[in-house]
Amino acid sequence: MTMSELWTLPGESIPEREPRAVKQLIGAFFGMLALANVAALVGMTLQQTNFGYEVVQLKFSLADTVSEPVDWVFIGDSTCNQGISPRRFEELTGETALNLCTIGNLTVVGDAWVLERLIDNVGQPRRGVLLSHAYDVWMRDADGLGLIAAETDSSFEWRQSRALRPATFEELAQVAVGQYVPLVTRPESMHLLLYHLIRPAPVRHFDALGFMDAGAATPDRVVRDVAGHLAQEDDDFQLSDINRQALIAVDDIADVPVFIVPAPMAGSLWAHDEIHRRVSDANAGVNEVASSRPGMQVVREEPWLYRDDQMHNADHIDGPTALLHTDAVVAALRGAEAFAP
Amino acid sequence: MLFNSLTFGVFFALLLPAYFALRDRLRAQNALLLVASYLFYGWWDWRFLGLVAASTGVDFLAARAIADGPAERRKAWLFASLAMNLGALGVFKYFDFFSESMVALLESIGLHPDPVLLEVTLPVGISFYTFQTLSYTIDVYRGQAKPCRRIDDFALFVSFFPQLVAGPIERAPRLLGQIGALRKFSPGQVEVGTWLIVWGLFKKMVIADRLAPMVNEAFGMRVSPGLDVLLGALAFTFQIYCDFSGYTDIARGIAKVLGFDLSLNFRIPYLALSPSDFWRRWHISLSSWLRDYLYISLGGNRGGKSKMYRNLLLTMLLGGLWHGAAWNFVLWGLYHGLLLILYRPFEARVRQMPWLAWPVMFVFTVIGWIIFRAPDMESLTWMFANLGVMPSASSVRTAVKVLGLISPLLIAWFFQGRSGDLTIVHRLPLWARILLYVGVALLIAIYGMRNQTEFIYFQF
Repeated sequence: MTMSELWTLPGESIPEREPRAVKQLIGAFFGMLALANVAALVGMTLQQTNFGYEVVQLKFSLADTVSEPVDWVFIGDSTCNQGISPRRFEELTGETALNLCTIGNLTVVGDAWVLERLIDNVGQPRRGVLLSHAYDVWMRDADGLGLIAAETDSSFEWRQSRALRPATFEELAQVAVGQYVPLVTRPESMHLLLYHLIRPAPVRHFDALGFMDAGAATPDRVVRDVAGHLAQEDDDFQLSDINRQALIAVDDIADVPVFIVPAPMAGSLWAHDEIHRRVSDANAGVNEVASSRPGMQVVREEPWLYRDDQMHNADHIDGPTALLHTDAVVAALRGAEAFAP
Repeated sequence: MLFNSLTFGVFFALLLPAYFALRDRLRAQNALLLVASYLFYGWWDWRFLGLVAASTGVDFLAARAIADGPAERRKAWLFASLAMNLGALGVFKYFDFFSESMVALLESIGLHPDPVLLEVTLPVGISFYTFQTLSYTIDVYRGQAKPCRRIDDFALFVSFFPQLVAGPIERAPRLLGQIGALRKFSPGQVEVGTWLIVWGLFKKMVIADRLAPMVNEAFGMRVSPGLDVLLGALAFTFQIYCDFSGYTDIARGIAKVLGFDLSLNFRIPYLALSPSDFWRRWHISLSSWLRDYLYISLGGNRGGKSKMYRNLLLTMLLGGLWHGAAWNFVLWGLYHGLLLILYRPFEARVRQMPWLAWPVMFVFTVIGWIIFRAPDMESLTWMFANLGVMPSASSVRTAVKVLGLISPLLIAWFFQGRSGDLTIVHRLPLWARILLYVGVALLIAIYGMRNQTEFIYFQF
């Protein structure tokens, strides 16, 4: 065989096989994959590999176990989870607060659900609900897997109870397969499971009021994440139907005013006109819902801007900046006359 | 329904046992496949099932009339079939493009007409199944195929789900022959089919979908000039191959498991030594279709060199336009037509010096893909103006990523090319094959992208 044969036109041949040999091959193939799947399930039970799910479980558990009613509840995504500190809020306003912000993929559906869980536990917040999302969360559809992280079987029932869009076939399949076949649905977790065999998982610091101190900034990541935002192929950033329904549910659940604020953002991301368009598209729907609900108010539309060296990525701020951001949010709430005179 | 979706996994897992339960009952198996194929297509948009059904009905009747009807009406029936298929393509795919181009042309001479646009959704796979049914009526007209006597068999020929939306574009004698005959299940074929599904998913979900962000960055003009642009072009070269050949592998694998044998569509195209060699290796079912039904119909090699060159150019230009209603595809087709003409005098010589001819042809191929992928003229000129070898701070990282992603492919090509056997993996002992199957499946589980991106060729 010579190397010049590399350029001859190749063909396809079907090997002669005994049926038994093929059965052995296919049986062993699926058998070994099943074993790998069981190993992954065990591994994920021993070590939580999905940080998002960890946050969801922690916040839902906090909503279920907190013993005192609070003045304010923060609900929203991960930008708020590490962006608004209830302790700092209390220092500035003298009013108690709890951060129940989870992750963006739970969408406003998750916000409404965790709020209801808190109210079932200790009653209504006394002063208000603060809702904060990054611009690219408003257009998302609910993530069935994210919701089952909070409570396996009841998320779809809960959605139904609030007249939110019923689960689609894909969602049900995703949830059914997602729970038991991580090999198909949880590549990131599989990846991290292997990665953490070599390097231990980072320890997250949550305080008793649900705020996560994100630690130091990572400006390099901000640059990459800004590029990622700009490369996003979705063109439609308008409020999704399920988020629209869930916003109304939040207002129905809360007897107190609901204040909506934007997430923080890297100034280097806001510098792009395309991002202005996306934020404006998202805000249009949110404003429309808020204007039709007397208890709901959009406090600010443009994101608060920070330098790259104050951030973890394009819309998540670092620990020290979270205090500054909380100050800014409180100032905006004061401007909206959210506090008692 | 996408092959790389959970929905398809459930669909196929339900279909397979029912299909095998009907073993030896050809009619029932075909009926099941027909229902499954319509469900598969209708899952995307049920309204366009009517178009598939209309194409089926018209071509079935036209072919019967061509074969059985009076001789003087044969041409009229052929034209009816051509009008139906090309008309559907024209309305759904090209009308707005030509309308906008005409308006732009008139505006350039100072006229300002109101554009007439249909703004209709392009039915997935329309270019594939219309070409497949067209070839059938033309073959019957030319006496190269017998008309199908059963509408259900013909409906399955048009809508057979593994190859309905992105090929391979099958010819009637090959696929209809298999549809009409009792399935022969050879264990070797099932084994090869299973491997093709696994390998195709790997190429799509791991290689193509992980290269996609780098490609989007480069063609979105968001990378530094120099090496990063070159890496973006290289990344697309491999993305489009892995995306399209990955789809074909899965389609052929599914068909093999079901007892069918679909045409080979790729034969390691990036080892081509010349443009004609490239088209013998890339999207073979389309290039042979263009040769048999367009190039030859235009006169082919007859009538001297100038006519042959004209025919080549026209065929490639229309082949480019087949890929999409945009000028970059026309330009890409024209570029390949010119390459075919320029290489023509040297065809014999390139085979004598493959080590020189291969890299030259590869460079030409990459240039072609830049034309093909550029979303607009600005991006196209930017890509060519900024191609270079000057690295940026992120070049090494990108290069390692691209090389890391394509290395399994390069290894596969090396062994497939040397042996001349695309299924060389089946020469390995059983234990090695099991490890390879499981290893590739685990790589898909860990590194495969799950956002279910559509296959690039769906839009063509």
